[in-house]
Amino acid sequence: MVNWLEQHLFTCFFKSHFGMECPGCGMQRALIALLKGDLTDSLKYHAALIPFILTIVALLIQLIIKHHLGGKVVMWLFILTSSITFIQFIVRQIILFS
Amino acid sequence: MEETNLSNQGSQQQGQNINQQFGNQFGQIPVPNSAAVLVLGILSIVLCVCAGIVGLVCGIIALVLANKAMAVYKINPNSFTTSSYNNLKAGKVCAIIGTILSSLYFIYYIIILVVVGATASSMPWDQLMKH
Repeated sequence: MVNWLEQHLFTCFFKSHFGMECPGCGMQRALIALLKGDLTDSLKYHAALIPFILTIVALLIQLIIKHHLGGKVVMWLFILTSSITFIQFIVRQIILFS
Repeated sequence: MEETNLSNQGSQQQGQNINQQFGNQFGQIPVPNSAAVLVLGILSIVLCVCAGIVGLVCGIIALVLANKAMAVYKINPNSFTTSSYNNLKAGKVCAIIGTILSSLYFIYYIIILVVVGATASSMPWDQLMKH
């Protein structure tokens, strides 16, 4: 499964055309590292993968059970994911241009 | 105007009374598009890849849907379930964040591309090619 994934990575459309990383770049590598059980590598490739997975799981659960507080949980997980992605993006750009 | 406002308030109060009497069993339906707004709001940041264009579109669609659904909810709050309204509010916040971040990414990439393009086109390529 992991080997198959490694051989069938999508190349980011943006990266292949303009040569710059987009905010979501590294997520597949992070997923593969996570499936291999390598947490540090996963965080290094994309720090927001784990909260992202939690957000998607929470969203699916919320769509099924429709709890009255579920929307808030999904929202806060979403805010966590997006802020981590944003900070990581800024840090990467600073590293790129320094 | 005031009279209509008063009558609106009156009907709302009446609705609340009915709601208190009969509780949630009284045929409440979810707010239209509440689930769609939540999903689109979250997709707006997930699809921030490709310089944020897809995320921007998703976020704006979610915002428009959310505003429409909010208007529908405010006409008659008692006929809709609370959980779907909470979903709607959460989805709206997600959509706002997603739209703002996507547009920031988008603007940033446009600026970078313009700067890179300007530098690349002002390079003396002819002289460089001769060497």
